[in-house]
Amino acid sequence: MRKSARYAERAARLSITLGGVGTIIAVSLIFVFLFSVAVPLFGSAKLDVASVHAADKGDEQHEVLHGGVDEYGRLLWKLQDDGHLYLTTVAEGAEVAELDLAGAAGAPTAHAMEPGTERIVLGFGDGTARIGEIGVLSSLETEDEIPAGALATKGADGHCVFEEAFYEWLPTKGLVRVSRLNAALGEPIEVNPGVELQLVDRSQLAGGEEKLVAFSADGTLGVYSLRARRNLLTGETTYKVRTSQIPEAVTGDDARPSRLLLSGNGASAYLAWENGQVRHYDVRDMDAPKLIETVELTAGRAKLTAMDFLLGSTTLLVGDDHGTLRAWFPVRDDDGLTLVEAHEIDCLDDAITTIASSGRSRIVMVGDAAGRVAAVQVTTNEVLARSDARQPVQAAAISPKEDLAVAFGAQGSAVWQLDVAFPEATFGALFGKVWYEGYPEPGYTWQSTGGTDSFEPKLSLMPLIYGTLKATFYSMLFGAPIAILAAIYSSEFLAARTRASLKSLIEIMAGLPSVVLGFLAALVFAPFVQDNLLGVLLCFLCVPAVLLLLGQLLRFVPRTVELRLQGTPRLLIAVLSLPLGILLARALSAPVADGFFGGDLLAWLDGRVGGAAPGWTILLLPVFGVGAVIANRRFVEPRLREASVEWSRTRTAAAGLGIFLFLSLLTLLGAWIAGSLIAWMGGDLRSAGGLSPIGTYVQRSSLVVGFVMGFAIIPVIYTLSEDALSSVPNHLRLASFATGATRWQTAARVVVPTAASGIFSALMVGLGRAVGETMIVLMATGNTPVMEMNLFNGLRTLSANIAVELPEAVKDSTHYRTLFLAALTLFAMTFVVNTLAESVRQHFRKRAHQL
Amino acid sequence: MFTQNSKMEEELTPHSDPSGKLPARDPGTAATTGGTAPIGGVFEAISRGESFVTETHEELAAEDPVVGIEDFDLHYGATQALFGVSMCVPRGKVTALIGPSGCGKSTLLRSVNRMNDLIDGVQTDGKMTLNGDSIYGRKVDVIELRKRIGMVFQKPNPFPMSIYENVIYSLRIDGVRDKNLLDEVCELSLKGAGLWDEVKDRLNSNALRMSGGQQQRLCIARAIAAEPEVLLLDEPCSALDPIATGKIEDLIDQLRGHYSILMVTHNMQQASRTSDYTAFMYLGRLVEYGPTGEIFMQPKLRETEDYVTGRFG
Repeated sequence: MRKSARYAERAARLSITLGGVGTIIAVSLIFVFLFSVAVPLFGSAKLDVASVHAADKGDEQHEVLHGGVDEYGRLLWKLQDDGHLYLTTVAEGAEVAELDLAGAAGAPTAHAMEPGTERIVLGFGDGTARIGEIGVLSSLETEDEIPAGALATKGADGHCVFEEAFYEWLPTKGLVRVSRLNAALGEPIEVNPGVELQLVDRSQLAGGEEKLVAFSADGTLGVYSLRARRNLLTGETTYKVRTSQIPEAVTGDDARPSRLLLSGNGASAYLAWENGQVRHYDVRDMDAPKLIETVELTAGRAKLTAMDFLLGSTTLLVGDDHGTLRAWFPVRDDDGLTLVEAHEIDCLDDAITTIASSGRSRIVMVGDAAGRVAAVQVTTNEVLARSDARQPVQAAAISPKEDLAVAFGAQGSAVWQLDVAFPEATFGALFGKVWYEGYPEPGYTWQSTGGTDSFEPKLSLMPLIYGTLKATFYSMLFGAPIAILAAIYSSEFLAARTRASLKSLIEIMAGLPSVVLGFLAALVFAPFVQDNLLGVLLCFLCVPAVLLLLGQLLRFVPRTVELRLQGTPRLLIAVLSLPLGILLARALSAPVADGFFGGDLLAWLDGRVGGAAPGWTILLLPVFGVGAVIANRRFVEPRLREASVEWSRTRTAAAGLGIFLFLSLLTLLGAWIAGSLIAWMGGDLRSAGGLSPIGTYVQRSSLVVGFVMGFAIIPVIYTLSEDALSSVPNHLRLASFATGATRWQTAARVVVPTAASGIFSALMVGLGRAVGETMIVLMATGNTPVMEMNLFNGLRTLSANIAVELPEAVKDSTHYRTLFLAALTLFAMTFVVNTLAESVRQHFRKRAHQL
Repeated sequence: MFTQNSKMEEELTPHSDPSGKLPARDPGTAATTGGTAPIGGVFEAISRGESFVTETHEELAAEDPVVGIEDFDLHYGATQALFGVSMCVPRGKVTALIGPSGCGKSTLLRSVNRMNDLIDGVQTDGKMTLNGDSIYGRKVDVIELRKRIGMVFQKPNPFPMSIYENVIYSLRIDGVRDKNLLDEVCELSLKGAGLWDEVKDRLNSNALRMSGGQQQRLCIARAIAAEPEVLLLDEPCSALDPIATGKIEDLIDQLRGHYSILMVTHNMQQASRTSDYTAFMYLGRLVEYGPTGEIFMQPKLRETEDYVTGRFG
């Protein structure tokens, strides 16, 4: 018997240990998994030398204008200033093809290439410009289809060069990828006949329109709009040209400008000089191009040595002779568009000679005159990696897949293996302010996906954390007082049997699937609140007011009747204040709307009608209310008590009612006067943003979330605080009653303080539930990642964000890992809150044991 | 007043009742459980359910009653706990209630400040007055009534707050804000409870850190802070060690004259040491009531003598 008992003891201990340790391990594993997915985000980028090629014969006299890498990272092309184009292999530097791009037109005098595309524009000495493209075209063919010569020259490493084409045998047997240079220029466009074009740029607008800006040797800056017309019969393309000159942009004596760029949307043209000055022209209107501003791009001190666009052709990247890279972009302000300097990155030491933007992200390859190169993430101000090209860099390129980086110089080209890691998601970008393109100032922005190729993911977790806390705050504001008061009521005032059934009823409430609550919130409650917003808001004022009023009126009832009313009748009277308050709110909503909110609360919230005073009044009302209560207790009540000793019951009640009405009126009046005063001084909560709780109304608002999520957390808080209150030893209550305390005094002075830590831990658990809640916020908030406390605006929480975006995130992408980081953040938040709750509860248990 | 939870009921039920059952049940069974030996005629009358007149000594007639009880009955639902109790609590004197477990001493005590109201299904009959005012009248506000009566429980039950706040609790709930008054009452009450010298330097420390005896004296200080017209002590020493008990007894001795005290005790020596008058109760009836010396030395009834000499009970 004894032995078997010992075995049972051991088996029990073992299984309990296993279960406990298993749980801990499971939770830890979740943490470790989230961590392991998220942590590579913070890995650093690498730039490893892959190959260096010597220049071909005769190249040294010619400068490289542009260069590029094909999609598969096998071929390099470069365009020299004599108009010759070379295609070589990456691995060996063997020449695949050579092409005289301009042909008879001779060497180009001006050139520009749009980042992230293959489109190029060249200007010539005869005043013509030609638009074209340079790229590598690849096709898949079977071994039977390729020329026999190519098959014969196939090298041991599985590729060969044959007749101006590059053949690469793929792992799939019999399949060969054939890559050829794909470069051609269009017909010459007469831009400034007979006058040499010195600078040129173009961009393609919506609807196929090409816009072109050109600076000619005679000092004219021209804007040209080209509409291609294709003759259906001959297949010939002709351009319809509209011209607009900005005369005397540069007069004869002025220094010649060195750079000209046209933004991708065709709105702004930038003409820059070597001294760092840039003229910003508005060229949206073809008939009246105008100068907007003149800006010093290099802070006046340094020489401008390179200028090019970042991907998207909106942000100007400016390199100076100190190796500093600056990013400027136009921001819309009151005067229209203004250039602002958003980023300044000290990336190199010598004069920057080339800036080459990647075609898929905001990474640029920067090279300097001393032969150093750097890969830079512009938005996050981060130099990802640096390396040495050992010769002055003339041009640079990043491969389309961002796996190779190339620098071209007089002595040939250098190729690096590039590993950019997750450049958009630095710690600073995830949790700090980042100045994104087109934004007026640095900020916290979450926008993970966008419609265009040049879209930049904005991955600040702050709006999501803010949204989570905001949703939690408003739902706690609504749910916590109700839950705690309900717990106090049921533990201190209700009979045991009623309490038990009420408790199980509320626990059933906890079992309601949150998706159902969210569904109701979004489809039933949100439209209702929108239609009856003022009425709903007035309920918060009217129901307590009616309750207090009923309490005052009850004092008129004779003593014997009052004693008989105790218990259930009194409860019924209290409950009566709910429908009465709602009816009152309903009746008041129309006159209040007319009197204070210009007849329409939604329009008022939007700032379209009415003044600022009501907003401040609403905000100040609770402050004045608390003030009135304190004043009443401090000054009025003791005096009334003294004076009323001799008074009749009715007289005392009348005095009480009078004081109540007077103080209520005083509160309203005081708040209104103070609110009007602040409004007069010029503050308006509606347009304040930030922490202002009032602002433009959207249907899926935090108000709805506060209600419905509050409803969801009530059961948790109620159950736990009811337990805490019930575990307060009964002898304390008896001691209080014996002293002549009422139930309410006993609850407020003895029971609640004793159970305070238990109630606190209940609140914390409710908080943890609200922080992690997903479906309600997902369905009822509109998921707008904004950072303002506006009660009437939406929000986006960490949890809802994960639910929405994880299905569409590419595995192991920056976005995917950032979502895991969001999950980790959420995990940490709920973990901290729950741990705090648990430790407080442990403390409480220890103390309760003392009693 | 709302109805009650079961926990409170337990709390109010005398802990000393070993069976945990309510006192005074059907007379027939009560006789067999209460005492088996052939005891005197009164017990037989009680066990037969006959009514009898309490043997009240004539000395009490000269006393000025604070609490007057006349023909008081009390029912817990279907069972009757008190049968026609009539007595007075003399002003400025200490009156002890003795009797075997479950005889209704504590029930009677708690009837005075209507703590029994907190229990479901309690019904009372008869008259009880406090300084001439009805206690069970229709117009009586029980909250106001309890403010006039102090009570100390078996187990020390200070609130988990500072010593200071504990003492002035009754004033706090009355809304007294005058700091000087509060300080004065606190000092006087603690002095009255013989606790001032021990705690005057740590009035703001938590009352739960005090020893059991100190806590009980703190409860007495809390009770007398409200200047009660009568002080009810419900076995105040049953949870204390002998030294603490001694201090409480000394304290009761000091309070004599200033306060009218009604106390329940299980300890016969305590009753004889501390009280001026003693009432002996048995199965819900008040059997004999007189000056303590007479009750213990020459009781008029043999049953009382049997009990005080420890022959049964």
